[in-house]
Amino acid sequence: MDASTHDSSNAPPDAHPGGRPAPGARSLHRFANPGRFLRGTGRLLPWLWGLTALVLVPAIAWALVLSPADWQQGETVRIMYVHVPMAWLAMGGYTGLAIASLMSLIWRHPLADLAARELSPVGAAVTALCLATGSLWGKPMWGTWWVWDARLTSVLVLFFLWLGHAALVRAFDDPERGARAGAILALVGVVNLPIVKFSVDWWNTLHQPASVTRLDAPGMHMDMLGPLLACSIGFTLLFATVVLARTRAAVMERRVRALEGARARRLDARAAA
Amino acid sequence: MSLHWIHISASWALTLGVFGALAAGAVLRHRAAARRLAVLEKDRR
Repeated sequence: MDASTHDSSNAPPDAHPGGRPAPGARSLHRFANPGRFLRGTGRLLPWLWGLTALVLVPAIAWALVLSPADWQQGETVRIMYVHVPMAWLAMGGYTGLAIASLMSLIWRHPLADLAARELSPVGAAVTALCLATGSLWGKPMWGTWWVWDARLTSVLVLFFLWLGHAALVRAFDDPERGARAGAILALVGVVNLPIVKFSVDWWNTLHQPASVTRLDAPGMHMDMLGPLLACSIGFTLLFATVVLARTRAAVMERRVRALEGARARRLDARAAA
Repeated sequence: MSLHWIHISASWALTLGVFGALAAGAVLRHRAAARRLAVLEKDRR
């Protein structure tokens, strides 16, 4: 989003480049005001960092020290406590990207563009971590780093979608066009999410089927389910906090560009006079 | 250290390292923008 065309820092909350927003979108646009966003996140972020540390530090200790080894996998099961949260975040984060893209395309929500732009590198990172930790878990358990089965391949496609979005939104001189192209790519890529989720049911895969998010009951003992859920909550908080901090930084950088532009224009006018 | 523990350590180190880098990057970007913004706002007044 370009500072010169889209800077609504001093604009009223409902200000919109294409005219007044639809009535239903007004409440959404209240939160699109950068000043309000900066004030709100300025208060919220220190608490979020603190809460993340408060949840994640004990969760890591629970996963690495206090939880038991698996009767079959031994200590290697401890990779699950990072691999599974990364997989959930890769998919959950992509759902967030799709929602932000939808808001960007339908309501031209100014912060949705920035949030999507800041979300995709973090999403690409967690998907890469999911693939890397999966490989590190697969080698001792399956005897191979990688197989082209449906689950692994569809997660690789998800990684390319994240990477593609991050690259596409930055590839245009006009940031608004980049955001639009990225939003369309993100929405097209949603078709991959059910493929990732159900790949282990639809095809015969080396990757195991779902054991936590089953409709009947989790196929995992509480001694392992507990640290897994604690790590998932901790990493989700960390993911959300990092994305929010990046979005806040991006809003401030946009304001910096707008002020620098205004200052340059003032200096030009003075020189011309 | 057994091979299994090497894989466990690598997984956790990679995850915490990447998240640490992302968090540090966000904090540094935020600080730099806040510093620049303070200077520009002061100039504007």
